[in-house]
Amino acid sequence: MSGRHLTEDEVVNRVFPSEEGPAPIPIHQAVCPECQARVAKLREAFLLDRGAVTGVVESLPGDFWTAQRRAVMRRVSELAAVEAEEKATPFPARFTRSILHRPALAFGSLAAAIALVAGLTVLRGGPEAGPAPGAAIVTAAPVNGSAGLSASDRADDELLRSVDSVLSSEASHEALLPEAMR
Amino acid sequence: MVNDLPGDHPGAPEPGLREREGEILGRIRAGEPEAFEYFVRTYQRKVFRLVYTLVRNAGEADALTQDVFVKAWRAVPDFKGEAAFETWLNRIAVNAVRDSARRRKPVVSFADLAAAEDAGGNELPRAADPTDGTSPERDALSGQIRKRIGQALEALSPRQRAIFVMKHYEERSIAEIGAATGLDDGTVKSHLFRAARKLRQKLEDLR
Repeated sequence: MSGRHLTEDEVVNRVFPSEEGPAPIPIHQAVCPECQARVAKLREAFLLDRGAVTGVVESLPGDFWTAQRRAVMRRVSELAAVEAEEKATPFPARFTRSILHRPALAFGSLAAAIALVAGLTVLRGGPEAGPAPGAAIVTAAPVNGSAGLSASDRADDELLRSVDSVLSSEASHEALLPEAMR
Repeated sequence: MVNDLPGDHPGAPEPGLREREGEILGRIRAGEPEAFEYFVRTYQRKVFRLVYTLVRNAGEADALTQDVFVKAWRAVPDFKGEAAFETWLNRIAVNAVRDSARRRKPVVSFADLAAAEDAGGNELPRAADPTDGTSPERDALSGQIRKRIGQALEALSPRQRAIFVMKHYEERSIAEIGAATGLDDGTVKSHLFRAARKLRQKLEDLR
């Protein structure tokens, strides 16, 4: 006997080679009836299965293929008709029709729009709810007790105070303007 | 007859096939959907055989084959003709089977379907089993072996199964399998090797 018996991997590779073309037969397999039988058993099982699969396809009657072909072509014709119609229909009409054909989409869009408007209204607090957020920040800014603030914050405070004082003394400045400009 | 169809021997495509198919594709793109019937007539058996080998259920294979052709028709405007139409169709078929397997877990396994088919449980004509006409013992053994192979194939990932089936059941070249799966030759070989190893483990007692 020449060499060792084939390993399990070698038996599988004899039947299911991952490379193309015929693989060389190991010398051992050529002379070892046991290894030949192992390879033959697996190959027979596979060929049996492959033959059965081919048998299924070849035994199908002509009517089966005709029916399958007709079914495909019917679907193709329907899709082609829809596509042709879509090409012939201008965009707004197509959009309106798609909305009308999908009531769930139409109601969903409406509900989403209402929810968005309601949400924005609540967030803004309504038109009469109070001063604008920007104004609130200015009035809430601490004027006194700025000891704990940084230098830049203190500078900002000073600037705000001087703006306030300019605005409050605006009436006296008006007195300086010529008559015609008042 | 299946073997009379063009492209059945991937290594030797029919002369002028690409040109003829290119002309038919042009007619389809120009708004002649009926011209698509040529492709259905030419390739339906081959697509069905590939899909059937993967799903092992004739009814499901029929539905998937129809889907493959409808998808192909929709994608004709995008088909650039870089690969053969058949290779492109195979790619659509492999993806369709993979997507179908992802969408739902089969209620009945591969192997059970093969066994039910052997018992005459298929709504389509019974397979022309190569063991027909032999002893009942041999028929039973054949059914068992097929069931085992079905179970073993079921254990592979959808991609590995597709690659394995195309190589060993469909006898496609590595390059063709690569084109149908979008993988390079080395990756295809690697998948084949791993698939064979998994099968080895599953078919331990058959050897």
